[in-house]
Amino acid sequence: MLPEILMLRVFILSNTPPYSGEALLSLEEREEFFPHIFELCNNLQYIDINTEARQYQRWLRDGSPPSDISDNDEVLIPEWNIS
Amino acid sequence: MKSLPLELLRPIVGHLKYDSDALLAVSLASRELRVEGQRNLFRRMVLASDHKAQIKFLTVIISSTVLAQYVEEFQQFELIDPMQQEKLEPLWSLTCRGLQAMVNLKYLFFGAAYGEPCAEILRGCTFQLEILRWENYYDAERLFEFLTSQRKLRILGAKWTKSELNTSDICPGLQVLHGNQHSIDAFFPGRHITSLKWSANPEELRIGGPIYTPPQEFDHLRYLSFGGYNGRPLLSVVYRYLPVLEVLELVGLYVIEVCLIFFCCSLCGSSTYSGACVAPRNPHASGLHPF
Repeated sequence: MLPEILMLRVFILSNTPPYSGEALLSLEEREEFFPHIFELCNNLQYIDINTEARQYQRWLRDGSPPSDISDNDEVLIPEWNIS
Repeated sequence: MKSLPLELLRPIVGHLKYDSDALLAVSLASRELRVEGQRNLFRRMVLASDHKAQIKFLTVIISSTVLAQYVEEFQQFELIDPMQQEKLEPLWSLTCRGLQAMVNLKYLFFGAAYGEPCAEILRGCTFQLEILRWENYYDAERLFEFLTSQRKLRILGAKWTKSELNTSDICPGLQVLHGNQHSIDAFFPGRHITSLKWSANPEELRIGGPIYTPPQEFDHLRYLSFGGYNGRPLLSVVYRYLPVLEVLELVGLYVIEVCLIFFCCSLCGSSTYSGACVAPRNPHASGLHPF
């Protein structure tokens, strides 16, 4: 489904819906699952799959450690090129 | 101070816009500085649940046309007693008069309490908003009446409940929408909305409900935040209708979505994807129920 969104360059997964309080997938599951998907998305430049309860953190495929982001708008600025 | 031109004075005082104590001191320092100090002091008013401060502020702007004209952003919550389900007085009456006095208001964020309808409070207001975030429910008819007068609105957040209202001629310049499926159906057609935050109502998620087809204008969407407090429809509802989408935020991820995506990857091979495994363009032919 994601590869069909052809112009997609930023993807964010807020993994915990506000009402439940529990992550739907563990971080390990996400890290195992999502890289396969992103390889299919040709224009994707920025991903963030480590967002728990909208407390955004960066998780980069190049292995960079996550860091806190205070402003949600910053998440939408792609800083990392997949190439 | 009299020799300092306004072109210099205005940006200097403007730097203090988030420091209300400093702006208060500036406003009291001299007559020359008072105008610029008060212009910034009253420009943005967010008092949360401090009812005493709200009453003081509203009383001041009702008594001063000049100060009321400075207000460009106003956020108001908790106007209804949660226990008695009655309007809090004198706060309700003061807010009603205060809003009518804020003729230059551009941004209004309003929630009465527990989503109670209260759009009646907008009657008689003459401001032309650019941003409206309306956190009350079952307000569609009265809110519709207000929105007919808003020609400059760019950003609207509203949970719409009346799908039969004809909204085709209102808010022509809308660019950003926060709302539910009814909001989408009411405000997407005929407009060039590029950003959507879709927060579903519980009834949108009902099992066995009709399959939803988004309006044609989803073609313009560049930013989509999908999901909210109640959850969201499956991604399969929308992904075919987003030809220029650049930024996607998914709030939550369902097991069935993980399975479907994984299934597609298995079919295609992660490094040789060519689009061959995409689902049919006709959502009804896919066999996937979105809810």
